[in-house]
Amino acid sequence: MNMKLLKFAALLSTMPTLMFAQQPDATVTERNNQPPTAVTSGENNDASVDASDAGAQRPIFLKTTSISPFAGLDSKYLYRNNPLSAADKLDFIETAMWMNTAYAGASFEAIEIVDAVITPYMGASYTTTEYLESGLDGLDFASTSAYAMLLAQHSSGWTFRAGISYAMDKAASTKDETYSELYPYIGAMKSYAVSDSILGILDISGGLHRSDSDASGIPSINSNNSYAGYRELQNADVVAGYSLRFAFDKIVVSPRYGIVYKKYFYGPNEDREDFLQTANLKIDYIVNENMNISVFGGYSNRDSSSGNSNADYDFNSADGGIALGLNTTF
Amino acid sequence: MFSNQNLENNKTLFCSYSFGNSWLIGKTKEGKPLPIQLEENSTLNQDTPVHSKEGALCEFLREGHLIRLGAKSIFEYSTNNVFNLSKGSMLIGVKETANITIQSDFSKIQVNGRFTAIVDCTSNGGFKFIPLEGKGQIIPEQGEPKDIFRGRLTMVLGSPSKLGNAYDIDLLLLLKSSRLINSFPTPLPSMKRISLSIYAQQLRLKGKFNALIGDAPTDDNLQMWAFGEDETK
Repeated sequence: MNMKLLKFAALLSTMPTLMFAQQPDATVTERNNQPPTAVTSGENNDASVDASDAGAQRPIFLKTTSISPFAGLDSKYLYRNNPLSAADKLDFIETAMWMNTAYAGASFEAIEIVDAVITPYMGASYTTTEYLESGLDGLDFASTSAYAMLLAQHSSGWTFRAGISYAMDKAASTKDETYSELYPYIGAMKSYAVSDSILGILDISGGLHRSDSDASGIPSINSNNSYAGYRELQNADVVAGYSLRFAFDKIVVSPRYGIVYKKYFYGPNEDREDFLQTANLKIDYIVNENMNISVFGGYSNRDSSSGNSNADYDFNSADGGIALGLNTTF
Repeated sequence: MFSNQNLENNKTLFCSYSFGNSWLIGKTKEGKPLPIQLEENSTLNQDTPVHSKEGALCEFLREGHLIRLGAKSIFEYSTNNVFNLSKGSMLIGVKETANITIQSDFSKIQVNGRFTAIVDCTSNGGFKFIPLEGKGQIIPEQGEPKDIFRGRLTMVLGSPSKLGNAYDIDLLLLLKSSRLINSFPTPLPSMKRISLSIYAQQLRLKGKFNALIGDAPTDDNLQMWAFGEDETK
């Protein structure tokens, strides 16, 4: 029996347990709680002109409305070697995944004060996550998220943000809501030129995940609905990341290293502390200002204190894939 | 005509940088013109014109004010915050709110506020006023005042002067291509605010014309240099 068959047999033998006791970890799911960088950075193409004393004076036209809508589609096809973010017992499960996100939002008229420009944003997104490995498709889910955010660009170069986001996961098979959260957060980002073509970006943020979740996955005795509204995944987090952005004509290479500290408060997770490290590399090919194609890869590692339970939340996970992004502003 | 740094008199400009050949045009006792080469760390007295030659750049400072002069320019200043640019281009930075007068051969405006702006003389005797950042008002001799708006080039025409057409221009491109901004050893003190202006402009940017604004040979004509295909965002 070759290795693939062994894995498949092992997967089948664990499937009942897997389906009821193990779900994709909602605490490590990537969620859209701010507009895409292309919208907030105001990047644009320039004409190439010779220097003159006063400088080139190229006429432009500005938006006349106070609302600037944007929308886009992101599609990712990826391989992940530990899609359930599981510890030892299940970490042999690996799968290809298909993730599709549709998003839309708007920025509102910027408020210019002496040393800062404050821009309000609102947006929403819908993401479907499909596991392409046979037997895992019962774990497919859809995420809905929405956010409202104030982004303040300060003259010092720091960008501050404060906002609140809502996110909800719904199982594709049962249509049950498995997770929801309100996430008030604050953050700050500083970008600076390392050289002519390299940008360094430091980003720190923190917030409180006020979540309701079906953490155990076991249906409640007193309810026909498996969603019991548990709070055990509620946590406060602090996120820090440093990334570089190498721009070579239409190719942008972005390595990033990030750390996340989480502290949980309720139930078996009381006093649980997670320390998550991620290292990612993304290479974008900018087809035009509305379309980019990417290849990406990453590695994640979680070291958890486990709290009141004996559960093992440590995991290692690696993924890699390709993505297509379409976006437009109106 | 010029002496060592004189910081006691905060109305006198001090030459903090000079590149290339620039000449002060003083007068002899008999009243004849006496050109003397501008030197760094010297003072530029009131009512003494300074001529910058081809490729030259110079910077003058006094408390709350910064003047950068481009090549082939003629500049002088006098009492009551009057800055006269009869040829060429200059950058003017006013740190705290003040009431200043900018004039060319024929045209004159008052600017009340705190700002950094480029002034570019045109062949019709007027000039372009291009604020890079700041707040305040542009007050012509004739007609209604206008608010300073970053990146909005305003034509100043005729005498008595009035404000002509205004054009929003690409601040990022101006920043990258202007020697008055980039070709000096020290960055502008207001550079962070200029960066913020660029950010604010980019947020509201809808599109760019494939043209560059040139000279204004007459009050009714403004040269536009077209290039490439139409580009919109």
